Amino acid sequence: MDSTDVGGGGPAAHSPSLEGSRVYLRPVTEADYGFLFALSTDEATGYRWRFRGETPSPEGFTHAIWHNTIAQFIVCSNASDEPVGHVVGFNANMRHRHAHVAMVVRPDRAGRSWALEGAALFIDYLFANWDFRKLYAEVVDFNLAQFASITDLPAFAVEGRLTEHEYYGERYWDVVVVALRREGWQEFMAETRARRAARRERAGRLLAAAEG
Amino acid sequence: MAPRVSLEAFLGYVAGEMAWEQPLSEATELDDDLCVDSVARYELLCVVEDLGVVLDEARLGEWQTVGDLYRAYAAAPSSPSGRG
Repeated sequence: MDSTDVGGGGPAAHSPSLEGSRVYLRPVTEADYGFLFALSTDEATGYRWRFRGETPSPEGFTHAIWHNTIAQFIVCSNASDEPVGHVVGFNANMRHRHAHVAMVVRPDRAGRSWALEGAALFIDYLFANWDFRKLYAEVVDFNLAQFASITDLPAFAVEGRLTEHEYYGERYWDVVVVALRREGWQEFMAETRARRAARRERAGRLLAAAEG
Repeated sequence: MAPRVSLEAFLGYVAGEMAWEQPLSEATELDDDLCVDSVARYELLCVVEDLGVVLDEARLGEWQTVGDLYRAYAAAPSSPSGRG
């Protein structure tokens, strides 16, 4: 058999699903540029996303959103198909096997589970398709409290704090570098799936008792 | 329509699944008493939806207490699969 033969019989290679229970990820197309530009310049998100408050030219914007990017998707609602956010992997270093990830959600959809589910789908995708050891996310200090229960998990580690690194709202803020390790993530996801399966069984028993 | 569990059963189930050690009542505040951040809120949503309902996430911010959550659960439509 030729080494290029990809016929059946061997172990199946597959990419993880890009669809969750509430959102799915789809590639960015030209038709999304308006949505992405709006996210990047919105009063509520623009100052802490990508251009940090600058208003890029249309040409500069198109170039910038693809620059140094390894993968990016639009996060869409399953219920309505409307775009609700954007996930990006960038600054990939294939020698040292790490990359950065970032995510932004439409301000009028903030506070919902979409961000977490979209991020989880994207992280699965990155670890499945590249042999990264670690993914880094940079979180401005004022945002960190929102994710306290994540950063307490063993899969995540705060690996750095850049003190008074970024300037917003007339003051400097620390930026915290959070690292997510492949093994930790896979373990976390396996535990999450097992916990959810066990929970569904318990919920099923509770419902059966309520029914009876 | 999937059956709905009683308030008492709901409180026990939610406390157990979220590993909250303090006893819950209808008046327990999600933010102030349980320190539910956005990640825990998502987990809580999944825990309740596993009881066979679909919650309206747009109203997530309106649920201040465990009682609010129970009322949302009791009024929610069943999930398409009927359970969880």
